[in-house]
Amino acid sequence: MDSAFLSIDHVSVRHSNSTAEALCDVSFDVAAGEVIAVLGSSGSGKTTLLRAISGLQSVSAGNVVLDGVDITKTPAHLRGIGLMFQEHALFPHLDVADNVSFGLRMAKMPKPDRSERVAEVLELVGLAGFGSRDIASLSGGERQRVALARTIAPSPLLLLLDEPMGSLDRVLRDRLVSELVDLIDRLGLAVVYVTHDRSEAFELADRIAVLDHGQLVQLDTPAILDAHPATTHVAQLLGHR
Amino acid sequence: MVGALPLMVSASESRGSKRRSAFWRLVAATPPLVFLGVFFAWPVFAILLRGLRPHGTWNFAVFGEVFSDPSMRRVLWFTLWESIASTVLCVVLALPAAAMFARYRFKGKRVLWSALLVPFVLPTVVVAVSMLGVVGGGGLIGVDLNGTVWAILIAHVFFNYAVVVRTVGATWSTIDPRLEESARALGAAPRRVFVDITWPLIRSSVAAAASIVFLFSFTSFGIVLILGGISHRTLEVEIYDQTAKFLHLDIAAVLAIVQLVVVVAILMWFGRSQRRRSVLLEQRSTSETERSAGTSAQRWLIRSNLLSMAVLFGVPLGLLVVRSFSTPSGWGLGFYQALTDSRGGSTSFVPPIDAIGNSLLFASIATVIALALGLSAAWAIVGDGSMGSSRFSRWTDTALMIPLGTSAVTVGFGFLIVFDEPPLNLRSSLLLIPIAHAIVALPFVVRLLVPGLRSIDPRLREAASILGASPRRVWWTIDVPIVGRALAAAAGFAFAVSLGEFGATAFLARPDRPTMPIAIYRALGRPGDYNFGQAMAMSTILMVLTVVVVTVIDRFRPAGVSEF
Amino acid sequence: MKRSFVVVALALAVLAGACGSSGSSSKPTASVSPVLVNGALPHFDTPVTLRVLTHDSFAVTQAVLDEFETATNVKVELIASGDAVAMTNAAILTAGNPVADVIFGFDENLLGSVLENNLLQAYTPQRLSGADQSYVLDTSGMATPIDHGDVCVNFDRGAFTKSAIKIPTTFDGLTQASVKNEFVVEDPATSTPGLAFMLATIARFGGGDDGSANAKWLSYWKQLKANGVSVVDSWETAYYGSFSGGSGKGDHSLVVSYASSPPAEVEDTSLAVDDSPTGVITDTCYRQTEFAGILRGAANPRAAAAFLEFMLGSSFQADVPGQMYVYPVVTGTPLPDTFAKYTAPVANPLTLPYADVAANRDRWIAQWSALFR
Repeated sequence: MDSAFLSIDHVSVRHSNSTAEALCDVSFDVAAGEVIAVLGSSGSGKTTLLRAISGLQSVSAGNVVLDGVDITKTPAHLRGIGLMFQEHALFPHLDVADNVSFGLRMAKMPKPDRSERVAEVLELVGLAGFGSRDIASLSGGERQRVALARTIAPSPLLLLLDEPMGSLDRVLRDRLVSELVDLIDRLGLAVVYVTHDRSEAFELADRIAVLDHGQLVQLDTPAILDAHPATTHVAQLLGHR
Repeated sequence: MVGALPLMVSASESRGSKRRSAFWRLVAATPPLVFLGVFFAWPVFAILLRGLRPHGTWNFAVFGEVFSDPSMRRVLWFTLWESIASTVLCVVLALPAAAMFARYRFKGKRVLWSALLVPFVLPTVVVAVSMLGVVGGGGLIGVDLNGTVWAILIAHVFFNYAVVVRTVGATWSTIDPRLEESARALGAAPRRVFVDITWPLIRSSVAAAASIVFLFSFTSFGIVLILGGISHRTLEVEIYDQTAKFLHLDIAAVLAIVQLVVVVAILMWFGRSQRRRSVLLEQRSTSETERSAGTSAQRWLIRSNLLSMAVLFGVPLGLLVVRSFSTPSGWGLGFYQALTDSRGGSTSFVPPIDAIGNSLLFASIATVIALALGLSAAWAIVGDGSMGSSRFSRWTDTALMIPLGTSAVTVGFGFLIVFDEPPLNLRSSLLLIPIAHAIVALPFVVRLLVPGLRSIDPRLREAASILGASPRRVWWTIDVPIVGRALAAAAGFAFAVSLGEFGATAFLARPDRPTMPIAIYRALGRPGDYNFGQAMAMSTILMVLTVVVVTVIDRFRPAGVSEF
Repeated sequence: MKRSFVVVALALAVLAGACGSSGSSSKPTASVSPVLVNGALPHFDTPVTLRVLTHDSFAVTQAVLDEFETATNVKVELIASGDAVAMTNAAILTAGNPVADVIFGFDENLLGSVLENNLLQAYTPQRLSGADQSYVLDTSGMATPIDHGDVCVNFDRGAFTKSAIKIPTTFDGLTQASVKNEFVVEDPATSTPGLAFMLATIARFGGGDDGSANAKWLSYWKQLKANGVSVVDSWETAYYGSFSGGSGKGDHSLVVSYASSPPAEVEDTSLAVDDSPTGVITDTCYRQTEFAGILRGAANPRAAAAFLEFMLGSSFQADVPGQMYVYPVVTGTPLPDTFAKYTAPVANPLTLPYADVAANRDRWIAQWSALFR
């Protein structure tokens, strides 16, 4: 693997209202085009990790380096990282097209280019022609696709996904996961994918990171992880008995 | 691949986000506070000083005189209990209507929602004369309540009903009805659903509305004078008499201080009840929260609400309209035609079209000022949500409310003595009118915007931020449009407040630029059928104008905002 | 936009602070020299703006005012400041640094405090010689009488005709059982006509120097109270809310109003005086004279003097009945037809010396209030 595209370097996060660290000295690298799945039970610090990388959460120690630039102190809106929220957080006052083009607008992309890009991205997620639809009128699966389209529209080099399939039913989820694998492949993005679902992690990831109580307990390819879980907790997470 | 977004590290951005947010909140709070400082606190302070330190020496003895006077103590006690009673009565009567507007679809809903503001903007003297026709001796209900405290309470409910219905209704309509429905499904009876689910969610907006109703009742002037008979006197009436009638500025100062202390104490108390709430709600669109009345109980709720509104508002306002068409020579448009008769070109005559123009102009300026300052203040109060409701928020909020609890005559006479030198010789400037209106409107604007801002899911702001929006752009692209509904409601209130404001305007308006209420009052000040009829005709026009303007504003959404 | 507002507001605050000390140095009261040129209004070479402080019922025909503006090259700006009492108190509060040049509309009940507070500068209009001199109450030349009226009890003729009760003609008639609960008056603490009617009872029954609850005039009020008199805050409420002769169709047939109210109720001018809808009990009338004066510290005292002359001129004097329902003070001024026909002549209205009113007004109101609150 070539040199690191994203470097998480001894990062710790402490929430203001608690004494316990939400993330404790976590370090790992992500190569360009690599997909890392972050597995862990709830409260293990998965979401905090994504928020720290994206800049929504400031870190109490350590550095985040993206493409050779230390972005630890960069505010979230200047990092150029894509983040897809667990509950999608679609803007209820904007229609589908305006949601998708929001990031393009912020990047001051001219209007004609914007509509072109929106059409392109909506096509990519299978929602061609949905531009003028109201958010309230969308189904769960459609909302998920709009959220994805909105996230990838500004062409981020790094994509952070926080349990993107969380609220969807099994059948839909399986279909979307395979679509997502396909899409990520085509775009060649580096991805950090948070999930608590083992099968998703195995299907998508080049490597899997396991978090427990804010600590990184293991980071390996699915095959190694499956064969040699580092702790009993990892084994339990993977469904071993 | 399209080029990646720019990455930039700026030194100034790297400071602690908390300190930064506190700093920006202070910056945002500055314009409204400076505005109030110059146009409210300073004149009030000056007039109090003139009263208590008339010739360079303090006169504290007057405190003893006032407090030992049993009639003053009676005034204070009456003011307190009538305003508490008015508030309770108003909230109890208005809550079912708020529920109706929040939850059900029915014919004429939009127009009714706008029309609610009509009583709120009509000049007191018009409504009081109309009310006398209903609750007075020989009135329509056949019981003479004139001069009793009941007449005062009914009139206070009449004026303030809209404050509760519109404030609480707007919040209620954004609450997902499925919360209530799932509570029902879990075995909760309707009353339990209300107590355990709905009430905690609407409580803070009820407190916000109630505090405004309290302040209006506490400082009630015209209603108490006209309907309360001469034995019922509020602190406000006493302050007016001591200032404008007797020029006893020392006694007036003591009473004004008492008023201020009570108002601040009550506001702090209401503020505490609001503080307990920090629930974040996903805002729902009306299309999601509105239902057709399905059960007979729901249909009964709607019918009984509409009936009580018809009695409370329809009868006195209807009487007013009827009188405007009832000329000495039978039914007709005589009074309306007379509005264009210039009475031999008197200076006291202003064509109603000009009075309408003046009113609309002043109201527009006042609305713009109130919205700009109100947005700024609301943002300062809410912050970015990370600090919760701090002491700073509460104090800012309280400071904005104080003018509502202060006598107009105190401020008016204060203006006379502080704005008396060039370049700030504003005493006879027309600009003071929209400024005074904006001061009155500001707390409404803030009270409507704060819950709206608080209800925004912080993840939406985060999502915008991730997509490259700077904090300022997050504010303009997320906060402002999403609080659009609250903003529209706030604009409606500000506009209506300005249209109907009388007390301060009477002090400030120049005879050649009267507003509608001033023109109505002027017509009522002259004897004869035609003057009375014209006052009724102009009041009817003001009513219609209010409904039209508020309906337009209620429908208005900032660009790009769809119905949600 | 938000930011620029801060700047403006801060600038205002700074400016305000800089001029906070207004030091009310009392300038010597200079009197203004006569302004008329051969009996006509003077013409000012450079345009002048004149500010006139009045109460909110001031009115004049626009064409009449235009006459003044054209003749003198003076632009008139009217400033209304509530009723006569509030207007006067606002002027007292700003004495020496006034909002306007001329003040118009204070009556004899306010004259005492106007003079006491050194509000005006002296000017005796040349045209005052044409006025009925009995209205000239202030001999120092500060306050110029402009118009007069009378506060009187009005009755609803229709109500009395219908009930066949005799219309009262005196104060004592108002305490008769036949008119029990029929009389509505205004609170003297809050209403100008209310105050005038209270002063009328003091002038008629005496006892004004008696501070006790047994003063003679108060005994009359006790009888009124026993006879069910109702008290409201203002003329508007009384006349439109309670009086059956007004358009509000109230339920009281007797009200304290003005001698000039009846003409306004007449729609059909062919009606005989004795058939007009409302009438006046002339025995109860109390004189009210309205004064004008030049405010001390006025920016344009000469233009102000010209305005006083104008107000005593024939066009303004002839205009006051129709515009403000009052009588002119200049003798021989023609009255409008309905006005002349339907207002009862008030031969000997009640009056009190203005100095007595100034000295005792607050105490009298307190005595009255003790009885009614």
